[in-house]
Amino acid sequence: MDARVALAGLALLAWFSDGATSAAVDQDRFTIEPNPVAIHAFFNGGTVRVRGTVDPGNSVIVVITGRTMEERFNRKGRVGPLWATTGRVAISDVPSLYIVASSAPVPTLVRREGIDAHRLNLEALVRLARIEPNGPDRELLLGEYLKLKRQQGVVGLFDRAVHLGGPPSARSFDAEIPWPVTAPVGAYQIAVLHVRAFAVVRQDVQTLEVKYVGIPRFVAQLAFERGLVYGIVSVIIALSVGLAMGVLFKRRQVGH
Amino acid sequence: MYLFLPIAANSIHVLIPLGLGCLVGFLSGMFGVGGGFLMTPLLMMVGIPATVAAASDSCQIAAASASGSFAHARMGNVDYKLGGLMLIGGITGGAIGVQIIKIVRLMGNADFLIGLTYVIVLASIGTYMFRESLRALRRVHLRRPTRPGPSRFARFLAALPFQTSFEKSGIRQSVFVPIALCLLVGILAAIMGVGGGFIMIPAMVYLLRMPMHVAVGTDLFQILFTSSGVTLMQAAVNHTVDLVLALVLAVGSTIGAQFGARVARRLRGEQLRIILSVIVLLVCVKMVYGLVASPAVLLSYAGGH
Repeated sequence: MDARVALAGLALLAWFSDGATSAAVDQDRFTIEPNPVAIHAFFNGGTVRVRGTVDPGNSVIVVITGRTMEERFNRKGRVGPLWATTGRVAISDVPSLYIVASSAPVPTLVRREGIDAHRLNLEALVRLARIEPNGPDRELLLGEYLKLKRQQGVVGLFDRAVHLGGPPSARSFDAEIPWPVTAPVGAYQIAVLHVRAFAVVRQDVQTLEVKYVGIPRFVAQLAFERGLVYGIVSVIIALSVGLAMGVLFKRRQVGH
Repeated sequence: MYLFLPIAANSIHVLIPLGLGCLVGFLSGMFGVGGGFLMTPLLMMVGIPATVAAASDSCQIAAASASGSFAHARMGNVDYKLGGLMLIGGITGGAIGVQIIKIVRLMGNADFLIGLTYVIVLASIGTYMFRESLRALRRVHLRRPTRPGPSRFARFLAALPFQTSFEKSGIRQSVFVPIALCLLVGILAAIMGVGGGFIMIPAMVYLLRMPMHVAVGTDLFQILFTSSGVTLMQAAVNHTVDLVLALVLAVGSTIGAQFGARVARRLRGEQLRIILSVIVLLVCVKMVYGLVASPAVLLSYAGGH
């Protein structure tokens, strides 16, 4: 794990712990598989499995969050009969990815204050969001923001994804959470909230890393860090493939 | 099997770009045009961002034109003198187009500009081709011979300065004509991700009066360089070339082109043109719908995602 990932993880931990001052924090009571999530040439999203132990009688909520950053959007509007970009909007103080998985619907597990403090629903998620320029259409923009994020699969609520099991003396939980293909590479925080009597009594946190491997890593690094070299390589490969295909089909035609 | 596209930052089932490549290659083999003007809108329809679709299509065109231009060069169908002038215009136009995309991308309107350019170009070409091929079909039906004389535009071209002989093509034209023509096509190549054959071939045959085989060979020669240049510039300036996508498209289009060429032998020229014009107009209608219909979400990532 490099320094940037560690820093991002610490920043996430600091942000998340704001709403969980009363809950204990432990890093060893659950495992994440796979970690890191490797985006390879045939990657089409996947499943992140979070498993661990839980005290008898407790329920579990798993919260995955991306780093908080400012994102810039084009705002579409009508220009005569056409839809075009009519302005820019910057939205910050919202995590780039937000997934909540639980063993039952969150409102049946945690009180309203707990939901707000731990940002356990979409309303709570965007309540503290900053919008520039901030205007009377804040609610509309936040609604569109959530729609876009849900369309991408980077905002999701899964209220039956955590399964509790095992004997009463050694209860365990197992969560299978769909990982979206569109989630960008970087560090993500996975927090496991232990819930008892409608309150969060414990919080364990770990970092999940998502990174490119193989061809996507080579292509993305070259394309974004050495654009000109990438362009030259692209042209050479494209011309070679074109010529090779031409020769192949010419041979086949001759064969016929 | 899905392929992860690192520049588009999304995955796509391999059969989609392969199928699109085959379809467009089939049409290009059938109609004798590159098909880039169909590929970009089709890629946009399957969810590839417009800027990535256009830039990757340029890369695919470079691959697709490589074998064709090499074959034509060996057959002696390339007018290098004319092709060299066309390249000056094409590369300059491509550089201008890439900068236009960069500016409108910063303004947040790249997708809109690409869509609008497509609507205008497809509507113009589709309507022209439809009317022209309908007239040709009627002429065949009535068995009325036609004897086209030099048009007013051809007389205007003949009056331009710096008239030069292009021996291979057997024509005499001002050096400004191929440069200006390819400047326009180069700009469109960068904005739309096209090779420009659908503009250049008719222009070379009808306006410049070049023989068809030299027009095709010379056009492929300049497309090879223009699309390679545009790919290079899009990669360096806008970082929007998805090589993985481009290669799958290139493989598909090469396969499709083989079958298209076989079908084309069974149809008459005006029949082919009227089918192509209908396809062009249908794609145009879909693009218009995309610009007019209310979007599902009113926000999109600034500068791509």
